Amino acid sequence: MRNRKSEENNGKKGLKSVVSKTFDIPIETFSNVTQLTVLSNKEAVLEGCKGILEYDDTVIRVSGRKMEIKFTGEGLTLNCLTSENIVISGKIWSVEFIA
Amino acid sequence: MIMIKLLRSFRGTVRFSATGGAVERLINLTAQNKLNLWDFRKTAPGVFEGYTIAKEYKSLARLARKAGVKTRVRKRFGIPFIIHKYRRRLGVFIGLAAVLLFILVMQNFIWSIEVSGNQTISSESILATMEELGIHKGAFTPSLDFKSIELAARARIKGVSWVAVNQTGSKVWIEVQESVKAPEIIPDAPCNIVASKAGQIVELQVFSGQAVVSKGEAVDKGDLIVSGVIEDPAGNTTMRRASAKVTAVTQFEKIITVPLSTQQKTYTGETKNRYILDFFGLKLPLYLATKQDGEYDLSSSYQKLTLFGAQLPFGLYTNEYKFFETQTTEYTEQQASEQAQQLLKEYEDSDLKEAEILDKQTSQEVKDGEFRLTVRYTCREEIGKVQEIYTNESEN
Repeated sequence: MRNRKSEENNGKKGLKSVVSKTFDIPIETFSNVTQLTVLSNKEAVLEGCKGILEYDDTVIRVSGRKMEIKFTGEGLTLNCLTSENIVISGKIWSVEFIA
Repeated sequence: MIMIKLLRSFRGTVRFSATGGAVERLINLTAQNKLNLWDFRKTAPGVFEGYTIAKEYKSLARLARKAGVKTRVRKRFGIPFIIHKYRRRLGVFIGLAAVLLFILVMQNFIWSIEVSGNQTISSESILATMEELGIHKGAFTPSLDFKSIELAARARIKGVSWVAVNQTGSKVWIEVQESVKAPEIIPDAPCNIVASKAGQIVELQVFSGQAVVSKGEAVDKGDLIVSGVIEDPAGNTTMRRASAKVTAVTQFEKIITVPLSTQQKTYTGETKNRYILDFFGLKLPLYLATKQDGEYDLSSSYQKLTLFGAQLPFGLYTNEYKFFETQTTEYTEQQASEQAQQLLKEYEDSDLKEAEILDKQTSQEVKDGEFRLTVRYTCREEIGKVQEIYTNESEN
């Protein structure tokens, strides 16, 4: 059963990947993935997040669509917040993706 | 970013602190309920501060209670709070409303008029005509039909080919195009050469026409030298435009008189300014009408008042009174002679510029309180003058 599901998933991924490569369309346009844009180490824009798990000036943990993202740094601030996007600013030292 | 700040300022913002409980839950609930939250940061252990829109603060505080977080307003910003602060000061609102009303009403009147494009026609005469047609300071613009005024102005102002009246807010621009006069055509009319001065001809070069006198002969002023009427051997006459170079030796007198006593103005250094306020063309004196003692020169200037580059319908006339005393200055004969010599030099530099002075005899005398310098010149100069021959054709 597990094997069949994973095969289907692999099949879907493969199809999206093929379409993306064939028509030269960015994969994020039809894929439900979390996007992270980092500007130097001063600002990070996260699109497609589900909620804040931990909020502090040194650590911010965010729940993404398929993984958890952990920002560590100094003077971290939530600059802007909407239901799906957040902007984090401060001195970002590291970003971890926790599956 | 400026626009965002401006919008937030219009809506009013609140800085609040959040302590205790699960701050993360508060953030998530805020996002789910689509409330605005920004610059949310930790300021002290267990203390967070952030900003939200004033109207949304109550909802945010309710969500905070759900999350076990205690919120407290720290500071309020923006226009709604300023209005709330001054709500009891009716005068401020009345003043603001009065200013707005004043601006709204006043923009329907002409504040200033500018004329451009005129070179020979004075701006004053154009403005006078425009005033007759209804365009003047203080005129109510909605009642003016600029198109018909333009047409009427074209007909009334002489020497213009085109007039445009443009209105920008409360300012009126009058653009004028002056009509170009047709160039004067020099007629090829028949003419004689006559003597402009009495003298003895020493050189005569005839380019066209028939010489009546010859070299060495003396002529009086107005005498015919070269005739434009030519008769051929068959007895037929033809008219021509005579042309010649006539050089003669002339003799004439020049008398220069200088009074031995003159009255001169000496400014005392005392000046007085009087101001007149121009309000929509109405002149309001800003002084008490008292008579000025003593003799003075009066000069007037006008200053337009502007605000941030925009011309206002107000101006200020400044009348400057410069006081002087009249003093009689006596000249010695020597001083008068020097002045006469100076005047003589100026005369020679201008009137005898083209002439060659061969001889100059001077005599001087003092008579009736005047110094008189008499100079007798002998010059070599051009005396030929064109004189048109009037025929029946030219008279008609």
